[in-house]
Amino acid sequence: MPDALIHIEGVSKTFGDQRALDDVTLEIEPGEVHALVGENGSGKSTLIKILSGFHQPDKGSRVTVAGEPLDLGKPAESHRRGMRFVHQNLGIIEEFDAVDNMGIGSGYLTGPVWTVKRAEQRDRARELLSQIGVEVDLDVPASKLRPVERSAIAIARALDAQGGEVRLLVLDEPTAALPPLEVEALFRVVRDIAARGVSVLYVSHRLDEIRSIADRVSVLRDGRFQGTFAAAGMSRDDIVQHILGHGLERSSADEWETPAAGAGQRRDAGLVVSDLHTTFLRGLSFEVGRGEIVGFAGLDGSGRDELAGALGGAVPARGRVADGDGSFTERLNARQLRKLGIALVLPNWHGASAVKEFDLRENISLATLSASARFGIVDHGAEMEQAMTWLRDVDVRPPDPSKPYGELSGGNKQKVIVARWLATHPKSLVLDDPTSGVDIGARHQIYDLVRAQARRGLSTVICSSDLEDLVELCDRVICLVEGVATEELSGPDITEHALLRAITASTAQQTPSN
Amino acid sequence: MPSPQRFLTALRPSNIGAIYVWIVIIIVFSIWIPDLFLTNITLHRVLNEYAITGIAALSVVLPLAAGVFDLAVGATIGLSGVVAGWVLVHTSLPPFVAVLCALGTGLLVGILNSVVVVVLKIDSFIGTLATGSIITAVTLGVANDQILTGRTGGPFAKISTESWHGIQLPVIYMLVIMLLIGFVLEKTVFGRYTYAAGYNSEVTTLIGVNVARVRIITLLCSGVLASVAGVALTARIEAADPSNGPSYLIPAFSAAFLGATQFRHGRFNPWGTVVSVLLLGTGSIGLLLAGAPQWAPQVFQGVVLIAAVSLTVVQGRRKGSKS
Repeated sequence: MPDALIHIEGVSKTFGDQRALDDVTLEIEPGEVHALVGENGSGKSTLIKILSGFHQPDKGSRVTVAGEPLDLGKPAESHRRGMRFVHQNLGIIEEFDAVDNMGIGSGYLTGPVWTVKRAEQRDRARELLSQIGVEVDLDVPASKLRPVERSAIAIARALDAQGGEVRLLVLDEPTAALPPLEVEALFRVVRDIAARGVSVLYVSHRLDEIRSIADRVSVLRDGRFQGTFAAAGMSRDDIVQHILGHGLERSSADEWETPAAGAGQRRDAGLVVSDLHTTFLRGLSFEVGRGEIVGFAGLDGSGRDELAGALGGAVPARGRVADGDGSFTERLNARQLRKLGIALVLPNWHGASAVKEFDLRENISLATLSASARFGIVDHGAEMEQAMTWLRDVDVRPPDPSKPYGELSGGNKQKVIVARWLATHPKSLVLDDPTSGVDIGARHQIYDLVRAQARRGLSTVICSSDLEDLVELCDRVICLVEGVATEELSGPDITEHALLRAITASTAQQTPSN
Repeated sequence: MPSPQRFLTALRPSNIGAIYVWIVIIIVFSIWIPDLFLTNITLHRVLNEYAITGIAALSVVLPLAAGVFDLAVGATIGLSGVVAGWVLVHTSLPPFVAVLCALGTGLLVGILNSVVVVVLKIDSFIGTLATGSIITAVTLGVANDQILTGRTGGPFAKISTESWHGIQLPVIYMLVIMLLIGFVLEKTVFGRYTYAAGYNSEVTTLIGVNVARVRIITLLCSGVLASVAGVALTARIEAADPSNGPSYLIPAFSAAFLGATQFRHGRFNPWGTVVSVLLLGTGSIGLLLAGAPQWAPQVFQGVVLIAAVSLTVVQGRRKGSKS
C-alpha cells in the first residue's frame, strides 16, 4: 500500500533464545487510530520499543516512514522522523507544574545566558494544551491535577512540534489509570489528534474502548502478527478470539482434581472480607472457604492490582476482614492482618517482597524469627535448618541458605518469598501476581505448591494479571471492572476466553451480551 | 561450616580491604620512620587517642543499620561532656552523679531525636542536623562559653586516665561497646529487625515489625553512647570544652561507613568500624610523628575513606555486572 504512513515489514526480535517478535508486518495509515492488542508478553511493548529506537531488532527487519526507511535502534532518529511516545507512567514529575513538565520534556524557551523565559514558556504550554482541548491549571503541581489532565500534559508535550513535524503518536495503555468519566475526555483528545492528520497507535487491554476509539485493530499473539481488522465490524468476542487464538483454549476442567473442589459445594469460611475500599476498589465483599482457591481477575486499575496488598496491609484500605473463627479487624494494617493468619506473598519484582541485601536464610526466617527465638536471641542452628528444609521443599537449586537473595532468578525469588510465608503456618494465603517474571518450570512448581497448601485447608486468594494462573489454580474467579465485582466464574467455566471477555468489559455495558 | 574456600573468600580485599590498607600503612611508616614509629608508645597513642573517636563511631552504627542518620552525635558528645563538667564545677556532688547526669543528657537527646525523626517523621539527615545545631547552642549556654575546669581532674579524670600496661580505660569501653553492639546486631532478633528496617522498611513493616520502635531504640542508644564518649573526653582532657564535641562527627561517620565495607558485605558493623578507626588513627599519628603538618591527618582520612570505599564498591560492581 503506497499511501501508508508507516510500514513495518518482517520485524523480529530475539532476546537470548527467546523470540519476542516473529516476522511482524503491519501498516499504519495517516490520520488513523490504530489499536494494538494482545496478551501480556505477546510482544506489544517490544514492537513499540523497536519503533522508539530503544531496541535494535533482528537483521532483516525493516520499517519505513512516509516511504523512506527508518534507521533502526536509534531513539534520536525515531524522534526526528516524527514518532512520539507516551508511556503508561507518563513520565511526569509530580512536584512540577504543567509548564515545567512540558519544559523538561520538549525543551525550554530560553533567553540570553540560558535563562528560562517563563512568560513565553507559560504561553506555549497553554497553547499546546488548548490545541488538544484540555484546560489545565498551570499553577499547581502535577500531583494535584486530575488523571486526565496529567495525561493531557504528557500528550501535549509529545505533540510539541518544536522538535519537528509529528507523524505518529504512540499511546501505551493511556487509560489504565483513568476513571471511566475521564476516558471519554481522553477519547476526544485522541480523535482531535487523528483529525489533524497525526496517526495514533493505541495500545490497550480494554477491548470495549478499542471498539469505540480505533479505526483498525492489529492483534499480536506470542510475538506473531495475527492480522489487522476494521474495528467497526468486530465484537468483543471476535477480538478475544484473535488474541487467544483457536485450539489454545485451556480450561481448569482438564485438571479438576479433588471432588471436594466441585462448584456449589458449601465449605466453612476461612476468610471473610466485607466492604473493602481502596483507591480503586469500591466496596468489595467476598468469602473464601477453607481449602478453596479464589482468584481475582481484572485489568490494571480495576482494583485487582490493589486487592492483595490491601489484604496484607501493604495498600491503604478500609473495610472489615475476618477469619473463619470469629476474629476480625477493621484496622487493615500488617500487624492486625497477620494476627488473623493472613500471609501476603507479593510478586518478586515488588520492592516490599524481600530484603535483597539479606541472604536466603535471613529472608526465609524473617517472619518467624521472633517466634522461634529464645529471650530475643536467634537460634542460628534452627534458622539454618529451617532454611534448608524450605529451600528443598520449594525446590530452590542449589539449596544454599547463604546465597544472597539478589542473585536469584525470578522463579527462585518467588519460591523463597512463598517459603517465608508458608513457614508462618498461615490460615489464609494471599498471592499477588505469583508468576510474573517466573520461568515456565518454576511457574508449575509454584502452582503445585499452592494446590498442595490448599488441600491442607488453607484459604487462598490469587490476584493475577496472568489469566493462566487463574485458569490453572482457581475454584472460583471473581472478575473486577472499575473497582466492583462484575462476574463470577467457577469450575470448568473458568477459561482464558471467558475471563478476558469479562474483564475487558466496561461497567456501562454490564448486561451480558452475545 | 568453615570450609577452606569460605576462609579464602573471607580474606578477599573486597571483604577486608581496610586490613590490607592498614598493613600497608604500618609497613610504610616502619620503613620511613622506624625509630619513632615502631614503639609501644605509638601503639598506646593510637589506642588511647582514638578510643573516644571509636566510641563516637560505634554510637552511629546502630541508627545507620536501622536506616537513620544521627548527625547530632558530635553535639551530644559536647553537651554531655559539658554537663558532667558543670556538675563537677558548680556543685559538690560526687563524680558518679556527674557521670549519671551526662548519661541522662544523652538519653534526653535520644528522646528528642526520636520525636523529631520518628514521631514528626522529619528526614533524619535534616532532623538531626537541626537538633545537633540546637544542642550545640545549649552546650555553649551551659558552659557559659567557657572551658570548665576545677574538679574535672582528680578522681573524675581516672575514668579516662586509669591505665593498664599503658592502655587507658576508654580503650576498654570501646571494646566492650563493640562486643555489645556486635552481639545485638548479629545474635538477637532485634538486631535482625534493625538491619531489615534499614534495608527495606516496607518489607519489615509487612512482617509485622514496628519499624518506628526499632528506630527509636537505636536513636536512644546512640544518644547514650555519645554521652559515654562525652564523659570520657572530659575526663581525658580534665576539662569540659564546649567546642570539642562536634569535631567527632565526621571521623565517626567516616569510620562507620568505611567499617560497613569490611567483614560484613556492606552491613554497618562494629568490627569494621573499630578497625577503621584504628586504621585512620595509625595513619594520622604516623604522619604527625614523621613531621607532617597538622592538616595532613585530615587529608589522609579523607583520602583513605574514598580509596577504601571505592575499592570495595568497584569490586562489588564488577561482580554485579558479571551476573
